[in-house]
Amino acid sequence: MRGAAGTRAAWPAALVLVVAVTGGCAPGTPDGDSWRIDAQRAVSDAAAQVHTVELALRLHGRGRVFDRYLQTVLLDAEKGVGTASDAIGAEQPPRAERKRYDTVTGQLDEAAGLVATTRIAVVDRETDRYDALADRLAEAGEALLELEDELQHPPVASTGAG
Amino acid sequence: MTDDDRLAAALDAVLHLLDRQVVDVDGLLVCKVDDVELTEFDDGVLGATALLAGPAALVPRYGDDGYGRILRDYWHRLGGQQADRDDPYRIDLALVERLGSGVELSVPRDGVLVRQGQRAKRLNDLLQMPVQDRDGLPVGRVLDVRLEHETVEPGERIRVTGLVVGRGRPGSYLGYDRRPDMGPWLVSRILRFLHRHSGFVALGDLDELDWEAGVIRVHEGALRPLVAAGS
Amino acid sequence: MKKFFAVALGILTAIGGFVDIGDLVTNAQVGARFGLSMGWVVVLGVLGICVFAEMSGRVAAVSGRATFDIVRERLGPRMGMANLTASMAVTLLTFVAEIGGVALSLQLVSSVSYLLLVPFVAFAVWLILWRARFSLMENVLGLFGLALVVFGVALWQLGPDWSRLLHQLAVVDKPGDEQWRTWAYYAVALFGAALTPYEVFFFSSGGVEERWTAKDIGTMRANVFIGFPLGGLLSLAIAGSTAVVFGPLDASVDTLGQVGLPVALALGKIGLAVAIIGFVAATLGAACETGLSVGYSIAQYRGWQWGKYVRPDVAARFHLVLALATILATGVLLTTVDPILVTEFSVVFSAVALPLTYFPILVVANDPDYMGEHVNGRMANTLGTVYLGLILVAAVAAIPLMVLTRMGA
Repeated sequence: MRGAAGTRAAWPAALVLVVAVTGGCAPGTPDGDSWRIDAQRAVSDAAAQVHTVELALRLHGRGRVFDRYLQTVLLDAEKGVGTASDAIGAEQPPRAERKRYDTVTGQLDEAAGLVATTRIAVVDRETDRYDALADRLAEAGEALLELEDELQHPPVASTGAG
Repeated sequence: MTDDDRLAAALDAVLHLLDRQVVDVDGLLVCKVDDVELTEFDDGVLGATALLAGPAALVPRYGDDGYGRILRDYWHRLGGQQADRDDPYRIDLALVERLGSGVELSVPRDGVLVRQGQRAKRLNDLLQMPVQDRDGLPVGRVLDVRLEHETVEPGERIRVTGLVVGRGRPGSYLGYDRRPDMGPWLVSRILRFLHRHSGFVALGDLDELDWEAGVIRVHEGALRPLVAAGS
Repeated sequence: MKKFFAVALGILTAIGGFVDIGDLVTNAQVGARFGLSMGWVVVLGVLGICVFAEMSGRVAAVSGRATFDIVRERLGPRMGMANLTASMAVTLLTFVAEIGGVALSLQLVSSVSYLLLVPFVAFAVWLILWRARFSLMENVLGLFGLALVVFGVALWQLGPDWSRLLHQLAVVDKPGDEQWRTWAYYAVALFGAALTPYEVFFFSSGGVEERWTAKDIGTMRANVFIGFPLGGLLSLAIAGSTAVVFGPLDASVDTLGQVGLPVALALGKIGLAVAIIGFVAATLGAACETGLSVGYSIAQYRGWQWGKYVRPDVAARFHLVLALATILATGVLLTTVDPILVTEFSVVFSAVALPLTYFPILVVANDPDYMGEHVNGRMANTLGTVYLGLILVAAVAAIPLMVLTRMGA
């Protein structure tokens, strides 16, 4: 296979080329759209974490989850919301999206704060607060889902109605 | 496991012997057959005389170009101060009891691997050697070496009876070029198509086997159709 | 009667040992996102692993040779080395993911950070690999892995719309709000999770460990053809339960804690405890299997004595490799990389490495010199060839899809 050895060296190079080309062909999104998609993803992830925490709290209220499990779920969720919030917060928004950037980061920060408050209550076993926290989480989750839907559309022009 | 001992009949060195697991008399694993030692006997016969093992035998098998050469250079660099860096371990064929799916020895494995001591010809030297006809045109490369058991006074030996020559495309170690009936059907068809130029050259039909230059010359019509060893 | 119990034990162990962290995570993610519309991929994957496990088990039983012996023999040392490097990289990645999985599962009951648990888990894995008898390890962990049946019970208890679930399972379609390339990415990931390369190394080497002969082929086939599909059903149950609970919430599943919540909802604390036992057993079993597979691959390539069927001092190099692999895995996990992320990478790269492993097995299972009268029949060959084609497609598509969809985001 001596003749094939030269082509064998070319295989990895060809493979890298294919991967680079296909990677570069990731949907050719203009800047505005890529921010919108990333924002949607971040909001969706945060919503998932918020809903998970709400579900876990309510299950605990019905005696279906034990304390340590709940604690771990909370810690994971807090980390998840934090990651989503940091990721989209660090991305430079295009001019057209400045307003929505503020809304998104604002809501994500609120969600992160709420989850942190819940985590503190859970670690300290303040079970009497769980129901109220679950309700607040439900609201926050709904708001995040609405925001996710709104992010389906491109930004409206600043003079137009919302 | 098929009950016949391959070494008692005819076999293809690369297909049936090379890279096989060596097992000792107690069933413990010893090494792999990294290469095979070839000896030129007094009556001009070329024969297989020992199994070679160890990195000194394995590293040259990675080829002479590209990664193979880099690996070999690195191997030497890591142990330049050792005089026996290129000296592989050796197991004499007389210690081999049987060749089935692995090589079974007749002795326990403690201390069975001994350094070869002197550079002898190896199977790897023959493999991939270019084969040319009398006009210097390429016929192919050596893909495999056919061996056959022979009883010769006072004992027995394994002699080289011929070479399997072909274009050296991928899949030459799979054996499809020699066994047309081996399944699965699609794989067999593809591989047999890739190896349609392969053939067998008897040792007696060689014009010249130049070990130093690394080339083999044959005359026209020396390439015969390929059949399974021993058939 | 004794034979019946032996066969039953083998089947139960196969069921319990089927699911690993890759199956857990991927099925849970896919269930939450796609419902059971990817169920057919699981079925396809399970059938594939049955076909190739049976082949590799038959080869081990008849010839006493395990998969990597065959890879080197048939592909030569050069291609064999490429194969070894790729397979070992994937298996090591999976090993890291499994140990991480055990630590994450234990975190759910102890609320100690999983990072603190990793060194202890790794030590436990190494101890088992060094000391425990092979069959004991397999049987105990496999039987405890049966605890994952709780997902099937939970799904039943949740009372989902069965006709809708079955409709999703039967029709090859995607939910409206997802794109085809994301669907394709998850299909490849599920395929890679079901058809893990290490499974074949482990199964054939395990056959040599347990000294199978041609007489054991029947039992082996029972384990494979009954045990693995039932294990696959567990995967579907996991997907189904996350589909029912997280689907309506439109929530993605990224943590092991989320995976257990459907069971908590349906069965309460006891169900949850059983599920966690299942997590620990499945991941610990898989950690032992992947660790051993790393050792098997290297030892079988180089010709060293391997296996737990001999005393550790007789297989010194093998055990040294196991120890080093465990230390390496611990090191990787202590960099605080997310084990779930490692799992997601491992299933995709598993899909890429599959052809390297399966092709030599298909060839050797057909070789009459090796197999005598036990060569592949027409059914095995047809299925084997079809799957080889599927595997090649998945292998080629895996990395581009991963890049294009940014890991299924």
